[in-house]
Amino acid sequence: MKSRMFSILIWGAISLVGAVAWGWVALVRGEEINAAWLLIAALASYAVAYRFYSRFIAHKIFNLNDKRATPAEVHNDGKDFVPTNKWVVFGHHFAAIAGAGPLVGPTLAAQMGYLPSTIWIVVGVILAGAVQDFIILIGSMRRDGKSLGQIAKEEIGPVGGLIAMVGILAIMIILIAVLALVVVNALAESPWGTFTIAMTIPIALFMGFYMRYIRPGRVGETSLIGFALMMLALVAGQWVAESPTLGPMFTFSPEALAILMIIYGFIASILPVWMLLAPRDYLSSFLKIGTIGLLGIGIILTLPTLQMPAVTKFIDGSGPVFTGNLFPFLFITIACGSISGFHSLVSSGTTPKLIAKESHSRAIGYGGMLMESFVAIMALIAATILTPGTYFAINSPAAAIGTDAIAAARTITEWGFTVSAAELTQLAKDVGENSILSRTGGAPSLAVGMSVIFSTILGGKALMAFWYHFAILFEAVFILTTIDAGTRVGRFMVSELVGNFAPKFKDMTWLPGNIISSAVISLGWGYFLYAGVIDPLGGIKTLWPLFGIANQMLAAIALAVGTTIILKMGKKVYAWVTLVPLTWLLTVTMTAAWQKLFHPEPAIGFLSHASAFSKALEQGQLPKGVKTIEAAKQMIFNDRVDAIMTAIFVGIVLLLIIDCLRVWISILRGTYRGSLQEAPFVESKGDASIYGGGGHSHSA
Amino acid sequence: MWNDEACPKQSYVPPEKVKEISANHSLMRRIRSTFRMIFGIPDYELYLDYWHAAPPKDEQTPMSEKEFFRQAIEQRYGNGKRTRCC
Repeated sequence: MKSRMFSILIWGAISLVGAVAWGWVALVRGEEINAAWLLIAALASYAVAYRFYSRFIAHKIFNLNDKRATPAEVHNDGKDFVPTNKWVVFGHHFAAIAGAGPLVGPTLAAQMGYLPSTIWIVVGVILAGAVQDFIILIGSMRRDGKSLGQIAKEEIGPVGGLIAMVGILAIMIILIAVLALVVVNALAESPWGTFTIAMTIPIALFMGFYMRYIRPGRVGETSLIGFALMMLALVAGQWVAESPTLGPMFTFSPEALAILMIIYGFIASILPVWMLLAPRDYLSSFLKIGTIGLLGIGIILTLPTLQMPAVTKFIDGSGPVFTGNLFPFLFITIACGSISGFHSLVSSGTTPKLIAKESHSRAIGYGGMLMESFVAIMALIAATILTPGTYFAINSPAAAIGTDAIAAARTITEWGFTVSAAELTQLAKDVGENSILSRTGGAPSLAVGMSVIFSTILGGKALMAFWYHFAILFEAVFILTTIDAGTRVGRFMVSELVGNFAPKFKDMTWLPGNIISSAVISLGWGYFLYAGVIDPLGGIKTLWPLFGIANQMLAAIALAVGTTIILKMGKKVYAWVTLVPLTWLLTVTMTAAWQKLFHPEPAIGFLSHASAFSKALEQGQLPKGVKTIEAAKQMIFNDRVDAIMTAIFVGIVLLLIIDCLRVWISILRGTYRGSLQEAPFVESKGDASIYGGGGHSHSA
Repeated sequence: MWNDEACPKQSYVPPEKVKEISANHSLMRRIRSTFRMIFGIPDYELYLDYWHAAPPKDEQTPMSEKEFFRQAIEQRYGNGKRTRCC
C-alpha cells in the first residue's frame, strides 16, 4: 500500500515536470530557450510512456510470459542463439539500430524551427516507432527469431512475403544513395576530410589482416590500434590540406567523389568480408557509441541555448533545405528517431535470438527505440544551437543562396535571419575549411554544432577545426559501413531474385555472379547518387524525401504485419495500438508521394519539374542553374525515374495493405481458415542467461 | 548457404549446464564477454565452454582460435543477411 502511494507520487511528479517543460518549450516566445527544457520534456515523456504504455502492450496484448521459453533458451547453441543479460541485449540492439538517420533527419527538419520536430520526434516514437520495434521483436521472438519477410509470408500469405522482399530491395538502393550523397557533400572540395576518410580504407585493410593473421580474434585490441591510426590521419589531414602539393591531390569535385564512391562500393562488396567489412564495422560501432555518448555528455555539461526560433516561416513549404509543407514533409524528413521501418529488420534479425526472457523484450524493443529517439533530440539540439543565419548558409543549396559569402549573407538576411559575410568566412576558417556554404546533407552542420559543443569543453577555438573534422570522420565512417554492408546485402538479394530465372546465380561463391550482382546494385544506387550530385537544386532536396517515403512505407508494412498478428491472436479490441500509427503513416506517405508526383510547384512535384524543364527547352532557353541542354535533358529523365520510384513504393504498400485487408476482414467475419503461426509453447527452465544471473524480469 | 556446411552446428546446451558454466567465470571474464556481446564480437572462450559442455558428435577437438574466428566472421557478415539501420 505504501509503495503504491509512493509510486503514484513519483509518477505524478515526473508527469508534472514533463508538462511544465513542454509548456516552456511550446509557449516561450521572444527569448531564447535553453536546451535543458527540450531534454527534460523528452525524458519525462519517455519515462511515462515506458512505464504505462509499453506495460499495457506487454501485458494486455501479448501477455509476455517468463514461463514461456524464448528461442535463445530453446535453441541455445552459444553462437546464434544465446540467452543474454537484458542490458547487454539492449546495448547490442541499440548499436544495430542507431546510425546516421536520427542525426541527419532532425538537422534538415530544423529549418522549420525546433518545436514541430521536437513534438514529432517525441510523440512519434511513443505511439509509433517504439510500438513498431517492440511488436515486431515480440512477433519474431515467438517465431524462433524469423525475419520480417518470413513472418509476412506466414501470417499474411506468399504474395505479401514477395511484395515485402521487393520493397526492401528498392528501399535499400535509395537508402545507400542518399547516405552516400551526405558523405559526398561533406567531403567535396575538402582535402582535410577527404584525406582522413580515404585513409580509413588502408587502416581497415590493415586491421583486417591483423585480426586474421597476426592476432586472431583480438577485435578490441585491433580496433584500438585502428582508432589511434585514424586520429593520426585526422591530425595529418590538416597538414595535407595546407600542403601546396598534397592539398590539390585530395581536393575533389562532387562528381569525382560520387564516381569514386561507386567504385569503392562495388569493390567492397566483392572483397572477402574479413578484409574490409568486418574491421570497419567493429570500428564504426565503437566510434558510434563513443561519439553519441560524448555528444550526450557535451550537451549536458554545456546546456547550450537554442538560437533557432520555435517555428520559422518555412512551415509554409518555401524552405531552402527541403521544400513542401510541414504536413506531410516534416513527418517524412524525420523518420529515424520517430519511426523507422528499417528497425523492423533489426528487430527480426539477431536481437530476438539473444533474449533470455520474454519480459526483457519490453526494455529492449520499446526502450531501445526511446534511446534512439533521444539521439534524434540531441541532433536537433546540435543543429539549433547554431545561429539561424549560419544554419541556412550551410544547409541551403547554391541555387538558393549563391556561391560567395557576400551574396549568401545578403540572401539569408533578406529571409529575416541576420548574418554577415564576415561571420561566415570566419566560421569556415575556424573549422579549417575553405567554405561552409551549401554543404547540404546535414552532416556538416551537425559537425559544426558538435564542434561548438566539444570545443566549449575542451580546446576552445584552437581545437574547433579538429572537432569539426572528427565529427565529419565519425559520420562518414559509419555511413561508409552502411554502404559496404548495404551493397553486400543488396547483392545477395539481386542474386536470389535473378537466381529464380538463372539458377547459377543462387551459388553465392560463383565469382561472375558476384561481380554481376555487385555491379547491378552499385550502379543502381550509383545512378541516384550521381543524379543527386548534378542536381542544381541540391540532390538532398530530391533524395531525402524519397528515402523518407520509402522508410516510412517499410514501417507501414511492419505495422500491417503487427496488426495481422494482433487480430489473429483474437485481441481485436486492442488493434488500434498498431492501426492508429499505421493510418497516420499511410496518410503521411500517401500525401507526400502524391505531392512528389503531381504537385504543380516544380520544386515539389517531380513531374511538374520535368515539364517545366521541357517547356524551357522547347522555348530554346536553359532552365536556371543548368549549364547544357544535355544536362537539362538528363534531369528531365531523372525526374521521371524518381517519379516511377515513388509510384513503385506506393504500389508496393497498397498491394500489401489490400492483401492484409483480405485477411483482416475474414478474421473479423469469423471465416478465416488459417491460424497464428507462433512456435509451440515450451516451458522455461529458469533464467538461462549466461551473464547477469537471476531473473531480470522485474522492470519498472 | 556455403558457410552452413563449413561450420558444424553446435549442440544444444541445457540451462542447468549454462548456469554451471557461468558460475565459474571471473569478474574480468564477465566484463570481457559483455563487451563482446554488445558489439557482436565472436567469443572464443564461450565457444570452448559450450563445446566442452556438449561436444558435437562428429568432432574430436574444438576449433583453434584462428579457425573459430575465421568461421565466425564469415558467418556474421558473409551471408548478406546483416541489415543495419540508416
